[in-house]
Order: sequence, then C-alpha cells, then structure tokens
Amino acid sequence: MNRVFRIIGWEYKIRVRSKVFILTTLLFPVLMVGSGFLSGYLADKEGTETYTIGMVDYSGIGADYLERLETEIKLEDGSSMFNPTHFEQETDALAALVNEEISAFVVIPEGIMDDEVPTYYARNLSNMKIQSGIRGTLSRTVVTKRMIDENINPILVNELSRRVHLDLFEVDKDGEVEKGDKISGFLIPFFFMFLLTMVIFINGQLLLRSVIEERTSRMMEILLSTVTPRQLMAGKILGLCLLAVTQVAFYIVVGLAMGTYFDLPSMPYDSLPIVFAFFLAGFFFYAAFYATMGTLFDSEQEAQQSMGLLSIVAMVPMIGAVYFINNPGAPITKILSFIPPITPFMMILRVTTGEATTFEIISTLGLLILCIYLTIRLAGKIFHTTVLMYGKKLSIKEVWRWIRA
Amino acid sequence: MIEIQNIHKQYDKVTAVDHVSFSIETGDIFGLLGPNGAGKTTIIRMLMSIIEPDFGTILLNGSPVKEVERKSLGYLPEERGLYPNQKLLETLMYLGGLKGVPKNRLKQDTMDWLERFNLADRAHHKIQELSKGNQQKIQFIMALIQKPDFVILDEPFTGLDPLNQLLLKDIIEEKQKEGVTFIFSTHQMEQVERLCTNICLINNGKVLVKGTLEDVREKHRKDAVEVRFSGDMDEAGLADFMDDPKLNGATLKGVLKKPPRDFLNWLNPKVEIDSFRIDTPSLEQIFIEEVKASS
Repeated sequence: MNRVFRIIGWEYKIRVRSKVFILTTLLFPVLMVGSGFLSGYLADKEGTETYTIGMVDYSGIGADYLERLETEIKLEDGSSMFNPTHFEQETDALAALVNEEISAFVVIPEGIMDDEVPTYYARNLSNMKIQSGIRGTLSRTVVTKRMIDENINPILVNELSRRVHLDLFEVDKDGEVEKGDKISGFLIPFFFMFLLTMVIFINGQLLLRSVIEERTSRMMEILLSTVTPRQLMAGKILGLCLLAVTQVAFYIVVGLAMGTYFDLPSMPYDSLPIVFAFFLAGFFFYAAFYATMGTLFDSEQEAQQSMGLLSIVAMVPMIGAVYFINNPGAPITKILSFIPPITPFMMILRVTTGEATTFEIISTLGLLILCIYLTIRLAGKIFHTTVLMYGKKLSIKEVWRWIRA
Repeated sequence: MIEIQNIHKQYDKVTAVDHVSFSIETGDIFGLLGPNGAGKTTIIRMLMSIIEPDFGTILLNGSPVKEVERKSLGYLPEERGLYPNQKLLETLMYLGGLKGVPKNRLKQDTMDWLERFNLADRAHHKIQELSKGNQQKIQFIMALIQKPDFVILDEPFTGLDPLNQLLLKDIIEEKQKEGVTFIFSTHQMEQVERLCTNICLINNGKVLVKGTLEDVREKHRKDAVEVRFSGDMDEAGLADFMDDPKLNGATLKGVLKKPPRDFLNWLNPKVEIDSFRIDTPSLEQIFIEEVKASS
C-alpha cells in the first residue's frame, strides 16, 4: 500500500507542476470569462453602429414604415439604429447596395396587406440584427395599418396586450422555497457536466501519455521490478484522480468567486456530495480505459484514435445538454442514466436539476461502481499482459484472448 | 542462494525458456550469457517476478521468489529508461522510496551515491541535461540504492568509458565482498572473464554450458599446443600423438591426441625443448563455438 501511495504522490507531484496542467487549468476559466467579456464587448460594439437601409415601396405604407424605422429602434446613445432611404426603382436600390452605399434594402409589394411577401436584399444574410429590425418594424407597420383599417385603436390594443411575467421559485425536497431564474436552472447542471467532460479528457490524456512515456522510455521495466502491475496502475489512476480533484476544487473556487462577483446563481451545496460521488466514479471509469489504452499502443496518436469511439459516447450528454436539462425526467434522459459510460454525466445533470430520485441515485451509482470494478479488473489483465510488449501490433482477437484467460 | 529449477516459458508458438536449471551461490558474480534472443531477458524477468514461468521454481535463499521482499532484488535492465524531464535527486529518491529505502536514510544515501559517481553537483539538474554515460550511472544507482542482497545487471558496461567501467567494476567487487550476489548478463566476454566465477550459457532457451569459468574452459580445452625447440626434427611418429601437425622450422603446432606428459616423454629425447604452451580457448571462442553448434 505504501508503494501505491508513493506512486500517487509522484504522479501528482510531477503533473501538478507540469506546464501542460498549469496552462490548461488556468486557461480554462480565463477563456470562459474572457469569451464572456469578449461577446459582451462585441455585442456592445454592435450596438453603436448605424445602418443605411434602402426601401422600395409599391404598397403605400412606405412613409409610415420609414418613420418607424428611423424612430423605433435606438442605439445606446439614443440615436437611430437605421438610416432609411427611399428608392423609386429596385434597380437603383440594387446599384446602391452593390456600391456599398446601403447595407441592405427591402421591397414592400403592393399586396403586403393581403399577405404578399416582402423581399430583403443584402450583400450577406448573416447580420440577424438588421433582418430582425427590418422585419419587426415592417410587421408592426402592417399590423397597425390593418387595425386602423378595421377601426381598432392600436394604442388601446398595445395597452391590452401587455405580456404576463412569471416569478420563478424552486422548491426542494424539504419544501424549502428559493427564488430562482431560468439561467440558474440551466447553468449549474451544464457547468458540472462540462466540468466532468473536461476533467476526464484533460486528465485522461495525461494518464494515457504517462503510461505510453513510461513504456517507450523503458522506465516501466524498472518500475515493474519494484511494484506489481496492479499497484502501478492503481497508483497512476489515483494520482491522476487527485489531480482531477485539485482541478475541480480550483474551478469550484473560481466559479464561486465569479458567481459572487457577477451575481450568478449560487451552488447547490446540498447535492454537491452526490455530484462529487458521480464525478469520482465517472473519472475512475474513464481513467481505467485510458491507462489500458496506454499499454496497448506505442504512440499517443494511435491510442487517441482508438479512444475516439468512447470519446464520442462521452460527448452524447454534452450534445443533447439543452434537451436533457430541460427534460431531466423524460424517459430518454432516464434510460441514458443507466448506460454506464454516460451515467455520471446524466446523473450529475439530473441531481443538479433536482430530478433524480434516491432509488435512481443509488441504483445508477451501484451499477457504475460495479462497472468500474469490472473495467479495472479487465484493464488490469490487459495491462499485466501488454505492458512490456514493445513494437507489436495487437489484434482485437489477441486482446480478447487475454481478457478471457 | 538462487536456485532456478526447471523453469519454462512459452509465448504462443515460441519457447523462450526451455526447462532451464542452474543455481548461484551467495556472494557469487554469475555470468548469464547467450546471443540476442537466447532467453536471458525472459529468465531475468522471471527472476524479478515481472513475469511468471509456465512451470518450474525459482528460490531465493530457499523461498519462492514471488514471496521474497522486492527490496532484496536490485535490477538494471538492458532496456532501461529514466524520466528525462524530472530532476536527478527527486527521481532517485522516488525510486529509492519505492524500493523501500527508509525515509530517514533516503536523501543521505542518494547523495552518497551521487558523490561517489561525481554527480552531487548535478543533483538538481534535469536528467535530460546529463550525458548518456551519466544517465547510465543513475540507472546503476537505482539498482543498488536499496542495498539489495541480489543484483541483476543486464549489460551494465554498455556506453561507459573505461574509467567509469573500472568504477563500476570496483563497486561490484566491493559489494560482492559484503555478500551481495550478482547476476551479470552481457555480450562483453572479456568483462565476464574479469568478473565472473560461474557462468551459464544459453541459446534458444536451453542451457548449453554451465559451471565455473575454469571448468568450462577446461572442458573446452582442445589441447592445441605450440612447441618451440632447438635441433633437427622430422614428422616421423608425430601422427601417433597429434592431429594435423604443422612443423615450421623450430616451431611445432597441433592438437594432441594423447596426454601432454606422454607427448613430452616422446619428444624430449629427440630435441631440446625451449618452450611448451597449451592454448586455452577464450570465453568468446567457447561462446561462438557453442552457439554455432546449437543453432
């Protein structure tokens, strides 16, 4: 046992101070916060730009539309977002667009009041802000005109069609009521799921590289003359696990600091121990695979390619995150919770949304622990057989034979 | 004492070790010899419990090797590596700790070894900054740091300059005097002749020759003789005593068919013998001859 602790200590010490680990650990929150600031900055920047828009009108609502376009949508400094220009002919508007005198133009057809579709022209269609501004203003112009034509007071309609808002409250199992919001319901499960995915991949790669390096540098033989393959594998996985815990602790501290600073939703402290249990179980499950892959291949590239399929499976919860978070009790979400490679992700998501029952937590965790035991046993068998085989291309048939042996 | 009893190891259709038995006395320097792919590394790995024999027993001082404390075995593998990005002292202390050197002695013992190899001033350098020869010394320290009773050295002199070879040899002899048993695997036959008292030569997983170096030489002695003499001599009667005799002036060479004493008794009245030498085959000659014969 003492030897396993020494390997854990060594693996932890050499990785925690490695440049790769420090950079990936520090850069992640910097990139997250940075990208938040950047998108905010770009959004602000976009809000200061004025667009010259052309209009060709065959319907007679053009003057009203131009006025609305000029007055209804404002920039931050109070000036108009659109600078509208009237063209008599579409060809003139087209020439102005080509000459970059205008950003886009809209053609209002004669029968717009009878659902004839207006057309929009621009050099590129990626600027959603212009499109939604033009479309919204045109809709309001047409709807108002229709109301006036039917002798309905548009101001009264506006007043009467005010939206109803909902105040959101979250009630936990003990009946405690807490004010919440839509973002917290999404952000926290997503944060933890993303954290697990990232920690598995970063530390899994480190583990994979560590095993391959020790094999290719022939350090493995010296180590195996001192410890058993099982002790070596246990020490490596636990060392990397400790590293992952350090990384997660760091992110949670950063997350708490950011949450306090930006007034983001608070952590679900009650469910943290269960989240942590699934977190560790998930990490062990994948770590055993990464360690084994390290013994099967002589190059990191080959090993990574072979891990591809498992990586895709692990990405399923991330890909479907929006659906799973919005529907934590849906049958598909529940079924996926019982598929071991996906269990930790799905259960972290369901625990943090408060949708997992005690039975589901215990049964999925039990199933996951059983699978970890079988995976580590299996990995241990392969590790023991292949760890000192150099330069030999392995076939699936051979690996299967060792597993059955 | 190490006793290897009828060990056998098969990989798929290849027999790596084929019913091998030999024993090594405590405090001996034992040469395990053989060409590439002979099965030496497999035997060594079985001795180190890295792999297990399909059958057969390995006993260390009477106990099965699997039950023996691993710290009593030091190992310098032929395929050896280091952590190039890690610091020298830290790496040695990690491996020393792993091999069971007590915590209170670990740093001092490591520094003592580094001083002995003139590497103390490099203790905090990264291993990749050291020359290949110095890296080899680190690997040698790794094999001895826990003060083992048995040490297996697989090609320990490769890549070392003559001075460092001498230093290594001195340390091996010093440890031998302290009662440490060495198994020494190499292709450098002159090193074996210089260090070993007993040898075992294997090929294709089988033992070809084993015993004391002296016995092995004696067994392979072919009584090739060279006689220098004064006086006149013809070849008459020579064929009764010698195969393929070659008489060249005052020198006679050939392989004796009868005991040297009988030959000398026959020759002495005919000429005045200035010198008489029986050629002993070198270990290298024995190695080549045996391996060729078994292949």
